[in-house]
Amino acid sequence: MPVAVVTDSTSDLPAELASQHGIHVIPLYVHFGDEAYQDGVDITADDFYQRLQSDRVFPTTSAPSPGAFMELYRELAKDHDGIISLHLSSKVSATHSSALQAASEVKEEGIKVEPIDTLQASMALGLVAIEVAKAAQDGSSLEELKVLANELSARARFTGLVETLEYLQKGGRIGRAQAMLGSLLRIKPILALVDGEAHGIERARTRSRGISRIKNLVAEATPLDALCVLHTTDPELASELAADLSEHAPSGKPLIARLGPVVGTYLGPGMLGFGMIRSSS
Amino acid sequence: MTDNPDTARSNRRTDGFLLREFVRSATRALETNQETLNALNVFPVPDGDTGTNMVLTMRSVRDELEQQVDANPSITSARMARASLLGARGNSGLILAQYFKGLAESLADGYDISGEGFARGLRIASEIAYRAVPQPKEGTMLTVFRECAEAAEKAVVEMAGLEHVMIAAADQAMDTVRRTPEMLDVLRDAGVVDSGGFGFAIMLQSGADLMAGREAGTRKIDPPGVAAIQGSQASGSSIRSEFLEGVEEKAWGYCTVFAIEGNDLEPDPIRKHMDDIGRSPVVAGAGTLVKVHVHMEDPGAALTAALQYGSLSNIEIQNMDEQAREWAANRTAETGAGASKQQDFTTAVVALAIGPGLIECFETAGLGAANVLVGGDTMNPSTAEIVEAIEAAPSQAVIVLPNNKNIIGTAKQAVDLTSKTVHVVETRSMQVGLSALLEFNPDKLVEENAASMSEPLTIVRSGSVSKAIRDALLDGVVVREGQYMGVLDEKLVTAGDDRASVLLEMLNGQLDEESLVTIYGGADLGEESLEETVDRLQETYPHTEFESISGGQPDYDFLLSIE
Repeated sequence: MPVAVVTDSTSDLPAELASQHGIHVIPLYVHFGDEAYQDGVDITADDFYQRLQSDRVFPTTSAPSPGAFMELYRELAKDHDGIISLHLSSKVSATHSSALQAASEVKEEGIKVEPIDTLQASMALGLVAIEVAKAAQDGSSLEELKVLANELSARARFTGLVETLEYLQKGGRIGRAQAMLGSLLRIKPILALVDGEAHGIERARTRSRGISRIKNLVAEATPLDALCVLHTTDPELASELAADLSEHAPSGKPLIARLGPVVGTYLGPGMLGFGMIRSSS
Repeated sequence: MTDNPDTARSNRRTDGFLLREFVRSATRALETNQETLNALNVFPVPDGDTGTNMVLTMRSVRDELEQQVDANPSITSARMARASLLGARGNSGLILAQYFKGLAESLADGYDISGEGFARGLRIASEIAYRAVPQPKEGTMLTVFRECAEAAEKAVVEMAGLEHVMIAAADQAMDTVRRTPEMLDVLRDAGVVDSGGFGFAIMLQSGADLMAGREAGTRKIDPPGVAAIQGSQASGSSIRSEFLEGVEEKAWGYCTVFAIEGNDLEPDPIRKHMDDIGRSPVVAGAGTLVKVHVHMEDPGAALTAALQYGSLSNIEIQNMDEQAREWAANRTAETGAGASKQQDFTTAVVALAIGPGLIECFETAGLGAANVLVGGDTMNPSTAEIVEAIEAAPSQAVIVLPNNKNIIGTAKQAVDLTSKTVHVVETRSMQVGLSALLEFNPDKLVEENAASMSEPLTIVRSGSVSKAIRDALLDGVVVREGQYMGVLDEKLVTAGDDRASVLLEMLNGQLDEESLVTIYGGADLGEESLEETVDRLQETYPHTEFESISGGQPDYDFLLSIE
């Protein structure tokens, strides 16, 4: 029996890719006041971004409970030898620790779970999950998958051009990108997860200049094992960016994914970016 | 010693002491004619005042020689060359420094200043100066150097002594200056002669006067060929220029700079107090904030003394003795004086800026790694000040943003005068400088930063709206005194009586849908009229993104960038 691969909804894995690779996605929650929604399950991205911009209440997010993890792990254990559970950076979310807690609870029942803190988010996490799932299909052991997952995570990058730091700040996840807040000039920050935390890595005066900067960032990181273009509200721009970056994608065609409500809460409308895995040197 | 020229003519010494006489009289001559020189600007704005720059540069040479003079002209001229380089302000100051460098080379092995030595000095200076400018133009100080050298050499061939060689050079200088408008269209259109060249001619004239036994340096001289040039307008902040002049003092001991914050502070008693315990104090400001610059043997004594007036901030201590400089920097870091600036970044920035709003922009855009030095059009900093700012910047690798076309030269000069790794990104305006700074990443290597920060230089356009201080015809546009001039990419594009209309007009045809226009309101412009103007711009150009910032810069009602 193969090992089961679990990730969370902050991976922003498109549903068809998840099912194609047999990846199990556990949802986080997004709350508008007292209303709670499961990420990607009972709130659509369109509805969400509409509300993010117009609602007077700023949404909050929460991790899946250990109970939810335990339930999923028990279910999967029925027809799998073990479970590898790949998650959002522990520096910005409690998801990984919730998974750890669940893993230790089910251990007594003989269920082997390896939760992995990828220190990544969105499709940087999603791409890691796909590669791990492929290896699982090919019969790799849980121990081998754990090594692979950590190695892939170290080569993964998540970077995005955002319209404003307002959402990151309101959501309390600003980290070292804080340094860019004080600028009197309007800027378009380019953020990246560095060691699991949001950092401002570049600034652009205009969106078009920012887009050319992120293209450069991809070019500078080549060769790549996987590339996915990300957006929150601009599918057309994302397609254009994917076309422009096609030479850098190993398949010649970058994936395109939309940020789900949880990561979208912090990056806001108008975000454009990418997740990628660099080739091992 | 030959202080009285009347008695000394025949037996005048021709050694280092004579050089000091020349320097004294040349400095005095420039001071006497400072306002005239300042008024000879191509652009009728207070832009890189040549007179002020030359005076300040010469004062630093003079002060050096007042401190110590050697009869051996090779030693004294070498000191002059070094002092002029450290004190150089603006492009005219830099070219002047080339002159002293040439003089030092020609006097390097002599014990006597001969007519021939002087002529050779002019020739070498002329060659060095031409090489120092990327695209030498005729009709400038360079032409004056070259033609003076030719005239002096001719006089040498005719067996003239030092006095007559100097007179020949001085006469030629005035004649060349008179012809500069024939060589350079911008001078002709503006109805002026080259100011730097004229300043140099004034210096030579004072030297010739001195040799001829006349009173030197006290005469007001009209620019040759120019009818009547209106006196220049007094510019901006007098506190600052007072401060800058003082900073020109000879480096000695520890250069100690700090601000005192308190109540009802009076500069005079503080200045007196500092004078008692240190040297060359400059105390500027009053009321709740006073800034002090003093040279101290023991910088701690100045700080202790200052504490009785209020609380201290922005403390910067610099050992002016080069060999001890590094040790002092370490000690400064350990003792915590200026410790806030000693954080470690891979790369830091020194940026020149003027106007409180713009200074704040540079500070915030610098991500904590920018050392902002106050300076701009009417207050070009000296090379030494830029070196000090580089030394105080929080990294071993520093990018300098001159942010003014008249400061680029001094900034480049500073590169060789510090042990730090310095790159100058040649920003010609604050607007472009800010765009460059937004490309800055303190965690990246200085070379990478220099490359990415240079990108805006070709992409970002800058412009300004300011009041003309006299009539002029420039770039085919007629402007009357008191009208507003719209300048884009250093060319006058429009003029008119209403500043907002000028701004509106100059953007016509320059924008597309992707443009971002940033408008910086000047010191005399209220927040409200800035907003009104930007609203008007937005109505006229609905597809362009506008951003407005209260820059607080002097002299320019609006600065703008288009990117």
